[in-house]
Amino acid sequence: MDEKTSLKEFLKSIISLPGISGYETAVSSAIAAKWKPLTDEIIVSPVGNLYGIKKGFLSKNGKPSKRIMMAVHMDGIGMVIERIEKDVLYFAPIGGFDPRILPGQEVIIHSRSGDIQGIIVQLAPHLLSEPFTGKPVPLDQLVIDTGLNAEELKETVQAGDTVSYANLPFEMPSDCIAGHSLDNRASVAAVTQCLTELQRFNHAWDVYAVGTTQEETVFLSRTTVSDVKPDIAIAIDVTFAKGPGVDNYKGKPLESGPSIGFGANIHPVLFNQLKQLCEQLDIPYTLDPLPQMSGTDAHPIQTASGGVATCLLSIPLRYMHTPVEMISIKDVMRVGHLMAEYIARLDENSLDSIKWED
Amino acid sequence: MIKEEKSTIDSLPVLPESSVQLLEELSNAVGVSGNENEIRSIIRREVSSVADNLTTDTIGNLIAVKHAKNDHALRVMVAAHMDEVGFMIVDKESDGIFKFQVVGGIDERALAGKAVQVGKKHAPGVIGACPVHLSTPAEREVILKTENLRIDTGPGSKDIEIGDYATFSTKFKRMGGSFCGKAIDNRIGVATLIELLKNAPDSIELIAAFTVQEEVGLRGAEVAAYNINPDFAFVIDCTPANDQPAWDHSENTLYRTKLGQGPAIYTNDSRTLYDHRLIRYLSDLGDRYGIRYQYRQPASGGTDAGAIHTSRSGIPTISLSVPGRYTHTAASVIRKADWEEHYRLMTVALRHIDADILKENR
Repeated sequence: MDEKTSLKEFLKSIISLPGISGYETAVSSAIAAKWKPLTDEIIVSPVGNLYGIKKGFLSKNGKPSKRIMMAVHMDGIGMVIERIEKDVLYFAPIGGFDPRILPGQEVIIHSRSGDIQGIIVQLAPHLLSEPFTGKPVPLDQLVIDTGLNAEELKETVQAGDTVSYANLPFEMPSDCIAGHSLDNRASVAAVTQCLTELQRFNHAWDVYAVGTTQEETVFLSRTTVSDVKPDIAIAIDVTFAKGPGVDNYKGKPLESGPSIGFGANIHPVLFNQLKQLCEQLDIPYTLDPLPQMSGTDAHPIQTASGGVATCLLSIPLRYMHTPVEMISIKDVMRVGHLMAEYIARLDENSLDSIKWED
Repeated sequence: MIKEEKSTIDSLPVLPESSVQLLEELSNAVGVSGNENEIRSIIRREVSSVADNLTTDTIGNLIAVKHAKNDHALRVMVAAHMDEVGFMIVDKESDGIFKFQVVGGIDERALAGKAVQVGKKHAPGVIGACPVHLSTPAEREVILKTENLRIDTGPGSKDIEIGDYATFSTKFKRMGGSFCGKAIDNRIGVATLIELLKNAPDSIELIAAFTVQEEVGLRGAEVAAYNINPDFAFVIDCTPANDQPAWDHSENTLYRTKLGQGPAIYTNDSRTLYDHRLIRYLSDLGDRYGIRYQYRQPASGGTDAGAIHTSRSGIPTISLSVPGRYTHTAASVIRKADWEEHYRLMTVALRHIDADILKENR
């Protein structure tokens, strides 16, 4: 299997696993298994952050180590059962989504007695607080139907059980993949690609591939900085791809390569280095102006534990936070390739270049 | 009215497991109104060895006939529509992005965020939505209308033409004692009719009409009824059950039908005041054999019966449907037990049907 096919299969396998915010174990274990042969050490922190550590030759030769961290959040959005009413379940969101995409969605309820299949549905007008004629039914009145009757349901499901999307990923033309949780498992795949390429390099710095938790809710990535103490951090996430629903500057075309963030959350020198490296290597890229906070792990990491020089690479993705997100594996590979080439160029003195111009 | 015969529910044929597999295949197949080819071809494969006569008429109905042993037997039509609601590609906007319209009645509030399959080759596509990060709360109070949604088959996708049909790509699955799928309305009727044909009684000429275009105005049934001109007609379909609990815990009195209460006998709907002799016939049989049944609450909606009972000089017609939740969405739900009871009641109904039923005036 070539690298691209292998990466596609890995990505499809990790978006088929549950991993909603705060409940990342299933997906985290699969990522750990993939990273294990590509790294020297795997560690899981008490709050679930995953570290794959690949030593560089500086620390291997007993010199002071330099550390670069690639942070990708592993968690995705989902739901949690709020209450049982006869044979239907009411639920609450974990993370942010538009309730208008929910009716008709296939889901899995992770109950204590095993996974239960279900679908999210809107009930007939006479069963709602008002008919909602010509209006979306609000999230708190949508329900999950499991096909179980009231008695069976009471036996199996409890309030607090989590709910994931159930739809399977599928491949589309031009190396695109569609499915749920591509935000941010596509970036997990990009880091995996970077680790794969780094096997071919004798790099100086220690590389920390970090799978962070709870990005969609409370940003637990801030705790990874205390564990890793990185000199440089790259956050990798998805950004809006141009297409139906997105036609302004925020949208980057699918297949247009890494989108390189700049703005207050981003160290300008790192931004420039990544941009110049793209030019040098002839990797297509777009610029991602971030006038406000980036809404990614770059935001908490930059200010954690005394501050970290941080940058952000993003993969264009259509229909973010829906179960039919779409990315191009070409963009995933380009982001991985760019990071590997960047890391390969880091040496003992690289940190000297990261300073303010004034 | 019913001729005495020692029969218990145990002696009735039971739906074989192969019927469930067939329902799965039928539910996953694509047959949007006007484009029922895939369904017709599955049915033809299933019934060609049992039917004495198998034809497709000009509008696309597949008519399978099983002759009686004796001459002058009653000619009984059983109709099940093959088509399902879906979409048609109406315009190409850009590379892999298409405008579409719905075929049949679909609540557009349940379109966004779904996977679809497009064209003869079932090319994968999605109906996306604007990311929640880029919409305002006020915008999210407004319905995502079909005209503002697109089917996205990915950059570089080929072989998709204006006029291609599409459906949700939901796969059939078993959920406890229930089945879930995109087109259970009315592949459940199709699967039942295939099984009835395979086990047809010798006493009647059974004319199985697998009809087209029910979802766009009962148009296949109109043509089929005229051509068949039967003595009786039964219509088997899937009917909405709105039997869930109400938000405010008030009693749900407008449930239409209830899951788990057996097949639903129609009394009246938008198009048909059902023949009370046939209503009585089915309910008597249910009582006699201990087969659970329910009456569908009189309400709007309808079945192929609307076109059949007014054909020619008028045809005594009844509808018996399997209750189903969330029909005309990406995923509908039925209870297996209701289907089994439906099959039993239809089986005895065909076994016992008799011209004497019509001796009583309508």
